[in-house]
Amino acid sequence: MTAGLTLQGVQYRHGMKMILHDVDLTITPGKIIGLLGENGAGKTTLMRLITGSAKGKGTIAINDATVVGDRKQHVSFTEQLRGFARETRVEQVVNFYHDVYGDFDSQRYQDMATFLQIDGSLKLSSLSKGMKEKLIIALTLSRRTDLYLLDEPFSGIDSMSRKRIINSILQWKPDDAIMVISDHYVSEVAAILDEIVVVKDQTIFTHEATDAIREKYDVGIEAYYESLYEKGNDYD
Amino acid sequence: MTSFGRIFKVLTRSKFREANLLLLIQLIAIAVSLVWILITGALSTTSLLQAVSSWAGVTYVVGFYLIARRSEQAYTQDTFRLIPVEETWLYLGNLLSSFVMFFYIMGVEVLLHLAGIGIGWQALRKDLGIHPVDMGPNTPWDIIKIVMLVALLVLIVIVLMWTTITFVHLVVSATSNFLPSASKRLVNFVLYIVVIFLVVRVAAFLIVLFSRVTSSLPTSGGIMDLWWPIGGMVLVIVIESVASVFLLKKWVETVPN
Repeated sequence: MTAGLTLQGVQYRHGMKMILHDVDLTITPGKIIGLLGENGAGKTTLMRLITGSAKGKGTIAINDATVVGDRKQHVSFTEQLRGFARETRVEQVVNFYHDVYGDFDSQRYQDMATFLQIDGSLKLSSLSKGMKEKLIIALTLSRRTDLYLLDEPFSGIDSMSRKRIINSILQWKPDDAIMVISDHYVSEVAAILDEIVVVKDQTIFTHEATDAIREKYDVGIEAYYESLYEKGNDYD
Repeated sequence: MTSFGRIFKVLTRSKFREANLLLLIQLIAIAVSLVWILITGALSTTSLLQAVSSWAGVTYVVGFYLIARRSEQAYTQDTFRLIPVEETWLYLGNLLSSFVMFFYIMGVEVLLHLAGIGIGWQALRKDLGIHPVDMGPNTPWDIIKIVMLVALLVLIVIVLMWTTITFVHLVVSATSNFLPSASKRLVNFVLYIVVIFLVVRVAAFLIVLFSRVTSSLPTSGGIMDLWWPIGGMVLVIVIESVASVFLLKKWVETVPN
């Protein structure tokens, strides 16, 4: 049995255009991964391929589950709740999660909702962008599963709340679970990342441990990441 | 894995909410109609039945549209596609919930009509000259068989409509993933022409079928010919369903965040 997340020879085209190719990636359990790349690099697509929301070629396994139906049991993804009508109340969304996900922990959700000050009686249409993102984070992390995919989870959230959430992620993540965070705020999440994966030139450009980067190149994660887009960088 | 029962429950819940809202709006429309009839001084014991009948058609059409829209969202929204369940169960649960919701609307309409008939029964008897139906050579059992067969036909036609809408939607969704924009538009255009042609052909076929059923009501012998078209439609439903599940598994993606 191979624990963790494994992608082998993953390829994805959309409208005859190659989006990702030759994606090989192995992530061991317990790690927090920063998925970095420019807008349109394919970060969200990579997450969608893992969940089965996008259909590509190659093999994707989460704790040995390769079939999409089985894989979904092992992954919790920050989806944008578009399947709900605008007048749906937050508590109805929570009930939905409770009904369809056997691993949904209601107590854990309540704790997070209290921490993030989410009002269950509000309608989705009345939530601000930041509050909606907080709700999505709480719902995603309230499942007790093996892989959490957070796709730009902090966009729209004010900087104070963002820092509080990032600092609390470690306590919310089960020890042996993998968490993949795609975000533009590299400097803020860098402190909690174990590894970074950079998507560039339609493939995995680099996959390195954050400690190794700091030790090897003597720079911060943000500086290292930005240098990958500068001509003649020293870290190739 | 999420059980079929839970999938059915969550897929029905959103449709149920919309169906109830629609029925509430219909009740308000009926009430407004009755008030208007009262103001114009034409209120009678049959007014409720007239008002219910007037609004029922609109309710069916809007209800069908709302259920179809909700139903198709389940195939392209991550909210539903991320649920850990086989695509086959998602498809069947969605189809069943749409079907149950449409029958729920039909059931409420029947109750409203019965209420209208109940209130205006004396007047209706007088106006229409209602008297015992002449069943000719048929026994009551023959009539029951005919009614059940026609009910089955209606039921199959409704399922066929759902499976066809879903199949066309999934074909469009699947082709849009791997075709460039210009080709997508061409494929969609060709698909719409084919669908319009098929809808017209099937509608014409059903009109002929129903007229044959109506004309053969006094004798139950001819009505047994209905089994062939029913069998044909069931076959189309099965083929479309298998194809739709295949498309879901292989090609149909969700709308990106």
